[in-house]
Amino acid sequence: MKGGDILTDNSFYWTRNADISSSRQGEYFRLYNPDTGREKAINESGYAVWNAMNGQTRLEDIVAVLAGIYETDVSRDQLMADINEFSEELLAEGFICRDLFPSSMPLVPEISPWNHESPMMFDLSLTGRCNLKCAYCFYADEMVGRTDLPLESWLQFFRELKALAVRHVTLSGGEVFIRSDLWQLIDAIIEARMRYSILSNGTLITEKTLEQVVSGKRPYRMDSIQISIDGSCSEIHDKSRGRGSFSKALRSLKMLKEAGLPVVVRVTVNRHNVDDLENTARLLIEEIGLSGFGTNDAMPMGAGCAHQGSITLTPDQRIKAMRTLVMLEKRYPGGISALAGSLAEWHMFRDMEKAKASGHKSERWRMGTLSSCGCMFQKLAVHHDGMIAPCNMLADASLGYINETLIKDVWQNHPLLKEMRNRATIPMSDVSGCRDCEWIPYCNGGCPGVEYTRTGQMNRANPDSCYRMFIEQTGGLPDISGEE
Amino acid sequence: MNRQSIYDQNPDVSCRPEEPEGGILYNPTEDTIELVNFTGLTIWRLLDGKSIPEIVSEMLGMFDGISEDALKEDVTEFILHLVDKRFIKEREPA
Ligand code: SF4
Ligand code: SF4
Repeated sequence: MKGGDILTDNSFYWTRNADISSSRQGEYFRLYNPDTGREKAINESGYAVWNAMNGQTRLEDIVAVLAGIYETDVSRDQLMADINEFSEELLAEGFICRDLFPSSMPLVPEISPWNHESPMMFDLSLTGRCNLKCAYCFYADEMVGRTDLPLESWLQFFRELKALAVRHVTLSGGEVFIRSDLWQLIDAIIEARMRYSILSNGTLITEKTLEQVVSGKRPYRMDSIQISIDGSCSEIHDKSRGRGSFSKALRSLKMLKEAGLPVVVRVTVNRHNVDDLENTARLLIEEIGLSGFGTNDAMPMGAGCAHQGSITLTPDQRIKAMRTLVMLEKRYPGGISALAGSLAEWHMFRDMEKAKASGHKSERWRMGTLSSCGCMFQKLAVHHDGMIAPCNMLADASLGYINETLIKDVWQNHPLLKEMRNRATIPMSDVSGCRDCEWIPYCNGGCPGVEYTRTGQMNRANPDSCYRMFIEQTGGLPDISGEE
Repeated sequence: MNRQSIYDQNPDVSCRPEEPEGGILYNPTEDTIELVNFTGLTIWRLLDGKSIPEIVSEMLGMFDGISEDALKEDVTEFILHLVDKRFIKEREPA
């Protein structure tokens, strides 16, 4: 060990060099030191190690952080040795510093490394038209009074994305398969050197569509095609998505899977299907053979707002959804995912409980500031009429129109994006409605979409992510860790 | 590598320059990335049907005080690495 006999590998406190900028580049993270011009590509666990170096962490703390994030068979000693070697490398290259004493204030974890030049990805709503009228489509209000951009406008826009080296677009609507020029659009996306994903209700996919999907480079550039399935049978699915939609969606799903395409499923949990989740999982995983599916909850936005009384979950149903989804997570390990909705909330609330009880904040997400909203560090959205928005969940937040405003300029300079990127520095104690809440140190306020749509204000907490409100409505988080 | 080989960018690959320090190459068909420094970015921009000696000679004209042998070694290593990862296409001259 360096430093003489007295010091050990574990004697030092490690700190990220404050001048280093980090950005995500696909599966890698790139550290850049503007003082030396040096850069370094590190993988996800390397980034977790770097991020854990907050001035108050020693190697053994970093090992504990890593063990909390990743399951590994590697022994603690080996992990310690690996991290030590990696730290020495970062130190020699000027990306970190170390000290024998901890810093008085820990650095907050980096949450969303920002791609400074231009977005990496786009969510594109290619059409506002849809053949269904789903009861909770958050895009529904957008369809009224806005017209779809013509092919040529999208092609012009894709040329701009090519010049910016954007990597990925997610195509949605409305229903994308309603556009008769969809294949021209997809070929232009491929020509513009991008990959793509499709979100669809699955009802317009036929054998002819399949022939189109598998032609040329289209299947190789496709990351995923997502079909919405909201129940295990037509009686349940069709209640929220319309008569006849279940059988068509299921047929498409099976057809795409048989063709070997990267098909995935999203289940939107709502009042009609909350008691049917177990059957839905059985259908999708055991009968159809998917490796899993994603979940979300119906939200009080768009059509979901008009149907709030009949579609969005009641407090008791949220508990029921949490119980069932956590049980299914155990039954199908790695098979049930959620970025939002009951399952995601259960994990978040449980992390908050754990942090409060132990005094150790989560290293997986930043607690105590309005920090949950991260996409605008990586991507933008465009509505079917060409309006640029920070995210599909912020449908009214206009950043300009494509082919009129330069994306690079919007990305680097738009005041609303700057305000949104700055949210993460706002302490929860400063957020309207949060003062005096005991959960302030452990909360991050959730997605601003619902409250922005309701009030026009960005710096507010999402009522669905408010643990205090959840406790008031339900009595608290159910203890479901041991259930199957 | 054939001594006569000439090299082109794979036309599918996008390049996101991050001046002044380098750039990111992205191969969307394979969904892979390569981070390149300033020298790598310079080589990338010269890949339009040139041979390695031609690229080296252009670069010698751009930068002062570089050793030709060291540069040739770096350019060859960079190009062969990216040919291997299908970011660069190698072909025989017509
Ligand atoms: S508005 Fe909501 S969905 Fe959109 S990026 Fe922010 S947190 Fe995510
Ligand atoms: S009031 Fe709700 S949103 Fe605000 S800090 Fe407390 S739990 Fe979080």
